[in-house]
Amino acid sequence: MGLRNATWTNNTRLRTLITDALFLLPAFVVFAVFFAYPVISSFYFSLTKWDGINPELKFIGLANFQKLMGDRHFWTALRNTFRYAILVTVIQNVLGLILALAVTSKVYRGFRVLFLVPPLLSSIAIGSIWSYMYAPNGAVNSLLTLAGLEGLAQDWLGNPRLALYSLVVANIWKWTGMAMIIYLAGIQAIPKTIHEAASIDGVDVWQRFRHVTFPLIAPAFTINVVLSMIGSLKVFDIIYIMTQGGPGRATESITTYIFSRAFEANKFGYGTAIAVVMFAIILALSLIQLHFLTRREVRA
Amino acid sequence: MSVKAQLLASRLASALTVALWALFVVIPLAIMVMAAIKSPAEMAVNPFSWPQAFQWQTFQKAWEEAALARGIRNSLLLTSISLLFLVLFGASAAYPIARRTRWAPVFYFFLAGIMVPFQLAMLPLYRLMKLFSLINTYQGVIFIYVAVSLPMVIFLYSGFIKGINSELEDAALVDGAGPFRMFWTIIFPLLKPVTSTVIIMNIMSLWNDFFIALLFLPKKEMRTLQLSIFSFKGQYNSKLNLIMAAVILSILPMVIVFLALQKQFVQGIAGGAVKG
Amino acid sequence: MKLRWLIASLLVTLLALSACAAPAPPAAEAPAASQEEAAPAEEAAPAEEAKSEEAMEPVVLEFYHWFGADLGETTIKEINDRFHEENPNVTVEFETADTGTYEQVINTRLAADDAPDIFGVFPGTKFHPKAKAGFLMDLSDQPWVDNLLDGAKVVALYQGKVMTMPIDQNVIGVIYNKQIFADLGLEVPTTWDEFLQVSEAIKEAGIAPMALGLKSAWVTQLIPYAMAPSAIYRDMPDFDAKMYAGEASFVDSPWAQMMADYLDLRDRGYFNDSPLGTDYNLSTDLMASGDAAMLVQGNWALASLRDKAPDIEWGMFPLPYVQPGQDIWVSAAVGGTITISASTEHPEEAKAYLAFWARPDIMELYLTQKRAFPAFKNLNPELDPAAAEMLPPLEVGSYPFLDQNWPPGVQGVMLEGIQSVFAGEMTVEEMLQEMDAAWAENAE
Repeated sequence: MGLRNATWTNNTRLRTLITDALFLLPAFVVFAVFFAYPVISSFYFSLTKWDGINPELKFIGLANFQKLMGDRHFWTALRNTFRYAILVTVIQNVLGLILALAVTSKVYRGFRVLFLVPPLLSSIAIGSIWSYMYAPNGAVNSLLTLAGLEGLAQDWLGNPRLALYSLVVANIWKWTGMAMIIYLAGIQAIPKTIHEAASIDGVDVWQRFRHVTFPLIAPAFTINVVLSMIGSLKVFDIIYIMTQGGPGRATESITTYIFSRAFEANKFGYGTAIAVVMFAIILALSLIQLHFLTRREVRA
Repeated sequence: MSVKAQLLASRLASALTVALWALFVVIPLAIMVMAAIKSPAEMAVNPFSWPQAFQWQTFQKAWEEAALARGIRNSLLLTSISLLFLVLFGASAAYPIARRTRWAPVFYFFLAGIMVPFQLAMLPLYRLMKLFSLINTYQGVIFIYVAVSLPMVIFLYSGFIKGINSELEDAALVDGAGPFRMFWTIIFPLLKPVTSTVIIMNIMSLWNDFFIALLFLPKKEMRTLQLSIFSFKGQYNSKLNLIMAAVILSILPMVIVFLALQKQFVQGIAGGAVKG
Repeated sequence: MKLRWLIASLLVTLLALSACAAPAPPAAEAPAASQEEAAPAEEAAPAEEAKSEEAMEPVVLEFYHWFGADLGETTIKEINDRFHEENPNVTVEFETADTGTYEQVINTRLAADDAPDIFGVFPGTKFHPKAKAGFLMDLSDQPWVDNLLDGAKVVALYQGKVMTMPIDQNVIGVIYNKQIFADLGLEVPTTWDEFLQVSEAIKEAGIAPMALGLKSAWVTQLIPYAMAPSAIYRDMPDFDAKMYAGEASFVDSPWAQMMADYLDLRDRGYFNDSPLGTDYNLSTDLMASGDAAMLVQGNWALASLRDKAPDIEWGMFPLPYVQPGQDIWVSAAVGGTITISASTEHPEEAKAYLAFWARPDIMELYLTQKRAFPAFKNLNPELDPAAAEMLPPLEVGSYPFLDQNWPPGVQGVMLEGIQSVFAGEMTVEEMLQEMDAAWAENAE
């Protein structure tokens, strides 16, 4: 008996292993061939002095990484990127969650689609629109003047102390609708019966959110936080189209710096080295974040 | 405060939040519309004034000069087929990852893909595409779209599958259903809200992709929507009114898709997960 | 079940939309197909007459360039169609990319050994890495080389060989609103002091003397570029050579004074409010609305100004960065060039195509559409009337855009530096030191 049982479980184990592998296979092959392989093979460029086109690559070991440590523009870019990412991640998630709770009712179906229009706009449109918004006599300053708040009018993109925050606002304008839709998916996955049971029990609104809704949308929370953090660490389009990293280097991010090194200064090897470092930083941060967030999910 | 009063208050708060955010979203969009329907001369004098003469012909001009019909057709083709593969491949790959911890290394392998800046893959990818003769082919770009977006799709699906009780599938397996049939008939239907999220999120990135299409589909007949719009951007001077008109026309198809999705997904989403 | 419906309906929606977008998809592909069919048919007839079937084998040339909306693809199409008429066996397929990403795409394609047959490179040192890597064909023996203007030829050279064909030139000057000048009784200034007086008079009339859009990084360089020919190169033509030899530096050059005068214009209130928050597009808006009277820009800006203000009469004069009695030199440079890939399978056809472009009738057609100055001798394209006002000053003397002779990487440091200086985050001295450092690091 015992023996037969053992082979039976071994068999199922093997069978699950094979079926699991078959589930994974298509995704794995496409990803490995068309993304993972090119990325990994380009890591090599970070060990070379190379202009990006010449057939001859000069291997220089870790010299690019060494140089990186002493490159103050790299550190400026890193600091800007972190500032940007933290602000965007926090504000976008708070607003996204509030919005998702607000539009849960079917009445707001049309508004949900309206809120998804900004993420649909291409960067060229975003750049022009916000250039009119932030211009010295643009919409923002005009509205402030209308409201009798001339004193608050600013040179939103021209002032190096404000430019990064102005970009954060544009980023939030563009992407909060997306955060909303992910939270909404989480909220809609909560069975109605649970909410109904809760309201019969006479639980108040805040308690219902704190103890019923929020724990159940924990996976959506994890996904949103990780995605908005990664997205804002990788931010390129919005900055490139609106300020190109300026004025000076006030809004230079890691990705705009990679671009300017690799393609404007013809230092492809160095640019790749920055990209590799950035990849390592994002990977480490995401793993830490996932570790804490999923632990919280389980506890909840 | 009674529960009823609280409910009323929360409804009011919802209405207020929606109204405020709608205002914040609409003001910049209004500028976009103004830039399209006003003449460049009028826009130069005051971007925010009510248009004296509506330049509706700008839309027609944008439609014809940028060959937007062709761009929309190409973009729809690429986006819809990529989405189909993303949903099929992504959902099925996420299932074993969500259910069995032994696949964690594979999960992190995929996950690392979300974090890579695309420029890092560009050159070797171009060589690979050339080797497979995939440059200037739709399937080549679809492969790349699927590969680049899969990590996020798997991340989304696996997160939500974890939240689904596995008793359901065990019961089905005991009943003698094969694992594949079980997955597509029992688990996958429960993933509707995530599938809608996956579709919406990927529409955003695929519909707006500029660089991959520029690099791998340069042929005029194959130009995507975004490349068509860029034909109004010059080295020094851009035709802003035509660009904005083209952008407005370009988001309309997706707004229609979203409206259609809304109807489908809101119906009977709740309840499914615990029915069994 | 519901899910199947969902996916089905999604696909149906998408397909229905694509059907709406293109009522007859086969028809859209038809022109391409018929072209392919037509080509062999057309060639069949002359082939019999010419009895040289080999020479008439159909050839497709891929042509990649960044000129987009500035020119309009219709002009390129017309040139290509006319070429096809004269060379029925050769079809040119033109593809274009936005300037911002063009370099990225072309570099990737070159590095992956997938070069287009014919493509554009930026003039001067910017194309040198491509020539050094052996991607460009030596065109020194081509018939059109002798017709190039000397100034245009210089920026097409690599190690003494002509590697690319310049097709147009641009000029930087002061574009001004003639009505405002007439109303205020102002004359075109010919010295720096007169320029300051004119600006002061405009300012007193409540108009911004100059529009400046420093938010677009490339705009920041135009005023120094317009100053440098008179301030440096007229009297020191070997300044760049000395820089390469390590015998000169930006810090100890007229650059310090140029930057001080640039900032002085700001301090006197001669620019619009917040130039750092204003981009190129908004700076042309300021000119079109009459809120500003002058704009230091290239002749390309005239196209946009005429679009935005068809009724204003525009003029153009060289920036008079000189003392009385000194010659004003103008900043003028090649804008675009066309070159041939060293690895093309059809070198003869590609050379014929370039020679076709160099023909006076084609060049004039192109330049008239582009509203640019010629790079070849003896051409009379129809210039913008305001741009034409720059022709006599050009005779006095000119020097190319500075970065065309600089090592890569210096220009980027300068653009960021000027923004930082205007933002008060950096001194002129620090900026020039950074430029010197970038030069030393990148010069070979």
